[in-house]
Amino acid sequence: MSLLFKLGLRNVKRNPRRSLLTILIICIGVVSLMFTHAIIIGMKDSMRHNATATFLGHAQSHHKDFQTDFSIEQTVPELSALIDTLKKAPSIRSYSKRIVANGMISSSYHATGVQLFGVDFAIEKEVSIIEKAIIVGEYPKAPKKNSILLGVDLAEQLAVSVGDKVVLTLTEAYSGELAQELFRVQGIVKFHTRAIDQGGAFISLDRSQSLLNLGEGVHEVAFSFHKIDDATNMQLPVWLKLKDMESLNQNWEELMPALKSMFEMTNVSISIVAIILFLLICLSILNTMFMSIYDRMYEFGVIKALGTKRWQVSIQIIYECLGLGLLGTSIGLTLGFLAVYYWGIHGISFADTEFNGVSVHEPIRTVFAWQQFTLVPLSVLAMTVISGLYPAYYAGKITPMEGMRQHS
Amino acid sequence: MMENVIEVQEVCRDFGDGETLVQALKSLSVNIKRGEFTAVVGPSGSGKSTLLHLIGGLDKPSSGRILLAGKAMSQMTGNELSDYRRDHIGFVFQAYNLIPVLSVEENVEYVMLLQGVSPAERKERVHAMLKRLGLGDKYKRFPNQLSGGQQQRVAVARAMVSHPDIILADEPTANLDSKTGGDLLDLMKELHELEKITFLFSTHDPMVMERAQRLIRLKDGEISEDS
Repeated sequence: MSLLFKLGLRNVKRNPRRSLLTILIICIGVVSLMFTHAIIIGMKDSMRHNATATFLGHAQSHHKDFQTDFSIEQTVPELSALIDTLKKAPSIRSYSKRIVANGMISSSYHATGVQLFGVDFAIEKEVSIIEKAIIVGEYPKAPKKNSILLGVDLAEQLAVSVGDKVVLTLTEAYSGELAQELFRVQGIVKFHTRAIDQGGAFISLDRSQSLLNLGEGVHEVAFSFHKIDDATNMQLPVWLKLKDMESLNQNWEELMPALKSMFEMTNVSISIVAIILFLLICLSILNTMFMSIYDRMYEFGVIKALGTKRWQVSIQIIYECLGLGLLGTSIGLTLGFLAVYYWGIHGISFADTEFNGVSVHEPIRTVFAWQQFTLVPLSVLAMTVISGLYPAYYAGKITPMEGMRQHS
Repeated sequence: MMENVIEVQEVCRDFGDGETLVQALKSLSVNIKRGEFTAVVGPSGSGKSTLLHLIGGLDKPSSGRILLAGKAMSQMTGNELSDYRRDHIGFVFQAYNLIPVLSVEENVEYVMLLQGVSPAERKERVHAMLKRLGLGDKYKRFPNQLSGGQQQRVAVARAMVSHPDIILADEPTANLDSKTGGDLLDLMKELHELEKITFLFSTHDPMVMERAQRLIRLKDGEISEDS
């Protein structure tokens, strides 16, 4: 009925200040939900990227007990078959073999524990940010036999810089003998990850293998996919092949369960934010509509006296809510779009914050998603209309005499 | 002989109970014939408005019954009562009671819209009625852009346009100056004579009494005179 619809919408204009306040709350609700959703996607993307691109890779292969025992002898089994599988898989972008061992490092002034990584410098830069992490010195393109890269804080602790000498002390595999070797610092790296910056050192793969007496063995194979989502798609042919191998092959979610849990908690957080905003909108609509109904009791009495049925009065209130909701969500969508667009370009700086061992050293940018333009406004609109149901029912129940008595 | 539009049969209307019981109407019986121009008069608290509310289906009697064209209102459900008011009764209230967010034209067509009259017919009837009431140039105005007299004329147009069996006018001139009130009553009288519409007024305005064909005087909820 067009006149009832018109009546509902015109009543929105009747008390502009009250309607504007309600529209503002609906608008804030839409913008907040859109922005929260966009920043959480941005944060997840950023953290996932930082977690995997820094050093982890999208997935890793190890000896099945290596991560619990951390024994030098526990090298990746069936290494050549594993490498062959990775090489042939079209979804794999790059891989890097690594040695991982604990030892001691000393300079002329200090000595401390170190986590040593033996890497193939030529291909490691394809998997991690090691080349970009150099802040002093240079990346070893054709590394000398005794070149070493040190984490920035470790270098500071040892009071060494590029060109200085350090001595690495490690335990050889199988024999348990101590092996010592002199290295010259070729570069200092800053990964923005505490563990590497404070205690990480990188030497060439073959040098680390010979120092540890491991032959061709490696402790870790890190690999990256062309698309990060493939890392968690366990139905992918490469994963199905890796499943049959002796090595323990894990994607980033399995390697960093804390990060996965944090993402799940984030989903819960966004739900809580949504519930609070929905409640706020509901209360605001209830308040507005009841104030509006009490202001117009006499009028409801009159239109009831003219023969307006209960449902026709109720539908007017629903139309009013719909009008408020449509205005609020439309403005909210526009402002939300602008906010997500702006912070999608400029980002929000978290200034080197670290969550669960993952650094956030770049601004987090908001990311558009279809839900922000469908689910958010539609659910807010639905909530607005649902909030109007009780006031509508109440207004419908007003009898002509009850209504008209309010005037006298 | 003219038929009865309304038959009020031994109607009582009590408010409150026990010590606070007020008997607004005491076993009142009266018939209103089709085409009458009747005024119910009496002092405040005599039960005039209560009687009009009961006839209009806005309130229910404590006992007794009211028949409209032979059908008892007490047997009607809420929706039937709404339909009864919509199709058979036209109301003119003391405070005009136009819907402020609707234009003059929309206010007048409101009841016809509830009746499901087609848009073209609504438009035609509304425009004809407003022209007749001297509001032909004010279709698009809103109630707050009209004087009191103009608003009451719109209310009369709204009451008449749906061709009700009876128009109940509760103190229609109370908020108008005597000139405007007199003009409005002349207009209503003229419409009554031309269209044979039944009018029932509740009033203590002498101007209404002067124009009424029949006067029903109420005192303490009872008819003291019917002439």
